[in-house]
Amino acid sequence: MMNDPIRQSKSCYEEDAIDVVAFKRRLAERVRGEEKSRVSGRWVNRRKRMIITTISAVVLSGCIFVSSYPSIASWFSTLTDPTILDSGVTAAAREGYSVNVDAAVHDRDITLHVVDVLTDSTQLVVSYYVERDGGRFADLLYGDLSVTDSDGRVLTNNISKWQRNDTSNYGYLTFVLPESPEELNVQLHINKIQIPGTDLNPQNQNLYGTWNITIPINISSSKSATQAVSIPKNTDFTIPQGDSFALQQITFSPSMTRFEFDSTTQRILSLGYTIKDDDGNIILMYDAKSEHDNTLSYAPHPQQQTTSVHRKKYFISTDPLGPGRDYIFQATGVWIVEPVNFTFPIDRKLLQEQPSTKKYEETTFQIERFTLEKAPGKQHTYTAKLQIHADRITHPYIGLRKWELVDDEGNHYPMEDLTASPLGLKWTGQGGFYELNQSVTFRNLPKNSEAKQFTLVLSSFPHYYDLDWTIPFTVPSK
Amino acid sequence: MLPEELEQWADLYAQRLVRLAYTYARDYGHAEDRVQDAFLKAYTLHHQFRPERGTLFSWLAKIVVNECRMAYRRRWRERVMEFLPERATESTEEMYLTHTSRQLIYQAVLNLPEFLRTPIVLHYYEDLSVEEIAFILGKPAGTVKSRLWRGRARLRHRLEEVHEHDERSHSSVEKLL
Repeated sequence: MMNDPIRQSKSCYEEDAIDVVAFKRRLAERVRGEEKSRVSGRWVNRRKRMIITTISAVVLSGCIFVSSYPSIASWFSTLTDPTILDSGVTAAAREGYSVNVDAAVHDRDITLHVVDVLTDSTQLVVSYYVERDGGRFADLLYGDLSVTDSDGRVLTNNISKWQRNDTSNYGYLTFVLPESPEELNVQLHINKIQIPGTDLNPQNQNLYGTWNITIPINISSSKSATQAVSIPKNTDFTIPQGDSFALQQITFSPSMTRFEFDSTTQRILSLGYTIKDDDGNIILMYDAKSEHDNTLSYAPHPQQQTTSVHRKKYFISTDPLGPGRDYIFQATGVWIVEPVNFTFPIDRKLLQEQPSTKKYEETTFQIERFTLEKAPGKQHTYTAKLQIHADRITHPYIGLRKWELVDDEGNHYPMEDLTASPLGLKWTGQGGFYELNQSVTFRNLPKNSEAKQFTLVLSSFPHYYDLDWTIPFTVPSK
Repeated sequence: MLPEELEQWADLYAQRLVRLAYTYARDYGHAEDRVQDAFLKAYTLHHQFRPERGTLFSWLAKIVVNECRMAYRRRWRERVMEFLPERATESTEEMYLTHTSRQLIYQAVLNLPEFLRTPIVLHYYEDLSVEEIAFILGKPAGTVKSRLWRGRARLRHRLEEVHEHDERSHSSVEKLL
């Protein structure tokens, strides 16, 4: 029955909480603002404008519905939903940074059409539709979807975004480019097309076949319209263990402003930052330390591109900023995953009487239960099960799943399937901390396990570091 | 200073209402905006609140749902899916959590169509009765019951699909079903 699992997932629904004080402060500001608007009569005018805009939007979207080939420009320019509004793509497409492709490939009575591609130097957006059963549909595409350079080197095989227009039935795939050679190939090697379920038939339907399309793209015009500002080296941040993290460059392409970070082997979870204009207005803010997304406007999480084994490039991007205007980028803090060697010796005798605790920094870990049993059907191996509790966890970092059991001979046993069991992290609401209640299983322990001493080991942990980078920059004029 | 009523509503209900709005907006900033819109509207219409027809929370939730629907109603609709990078690394930690069983269900709830999602959220997460949900949505209780049933059926199908596509979550999904 579904009832109980749904109720159990309530903990996820309740995991995030808002800052009620800040909420009330903003509400008070809005109350004051609306009172002023009413006094001046602007409120009425605004409502009129909204009605006109709404009517225009309805008329405009009706036009798109009857149009055979809505371009990216026409589609994105009608986006009004602030949660997905991407004015950068809209602006770039309007300025002509898109090409009409009209490529098609046919297999098993199904034709995949690729219509347009937004040819920005930092991202490609591919529009497509699937022609089947006498109609066209924005079905899901499965297979290898990648962007390569002219030598066939894969630049990215991640779709950063998939959007679909239910009315015109166009799908849109976004590839973020980690680098920008002029000649690119978009390669869609599709082996499965999935028809999403409907209210009448909620089951998805999978269609198998081969639909391969390679689309050569030239982004030279977008590249020549792209400018970049290198950041002086004094913004490097070196963590105590020696690895560094630095804002390297700000790139201004037709469709976005991109902040590029360079890091050595450490893994960056998230970055707190603010972008202010020259009047001191906050354009964008992401408070990484906050217990929930404190996003004032569209602020995607940093995207990561691995450039080599030892260095990683991270991006944060936003819509294009005003040409010729001055801004300030302020980085306030960064979450970094660091290798640690937190060891928790298991005293089985003691555990029979009471839980065992050990502190790591602010967090108190507790082993509440340890059982060792012969594996059913495998009389020569053992299975260990642990119940772990921890309080004051500062970040919902999944590395907490990567416990290992180490025996007294130094043999390491990884915990069972990292994804199968719930992590059991719950936001406590107290200063943004999480509480951990985790069931961990280790299988295939050797037959002499009863006589062994075990130690529980955690090898990585996230740490937050304050940053105080203030980097003024000017957006180049076009 | 906030008017006393708004102050009280914010203290008592902002948290819950923002969570409800989040199931529409998928962004806490926007969800807060919708709840603030609803509070401002409710404040100007508070003389219309009838305690005999439902609780104050239900009345505010009704306005929040309407605000969310207005904000996200469009001539055409589009859905956004953030794809997990295939080579997931520790930088995608939070996304990884969606693979846990509760997150799987919560994400499946969020992905339900609005007419099925909102009854599920109000019933299972906000613990409201069918009658209260009927008041909030302006639908007969029978319709709410039917949507709850359909919502559960849809969730079961979705999770079976996940089960089918992600062998790793096999056991956890099986347990849930």
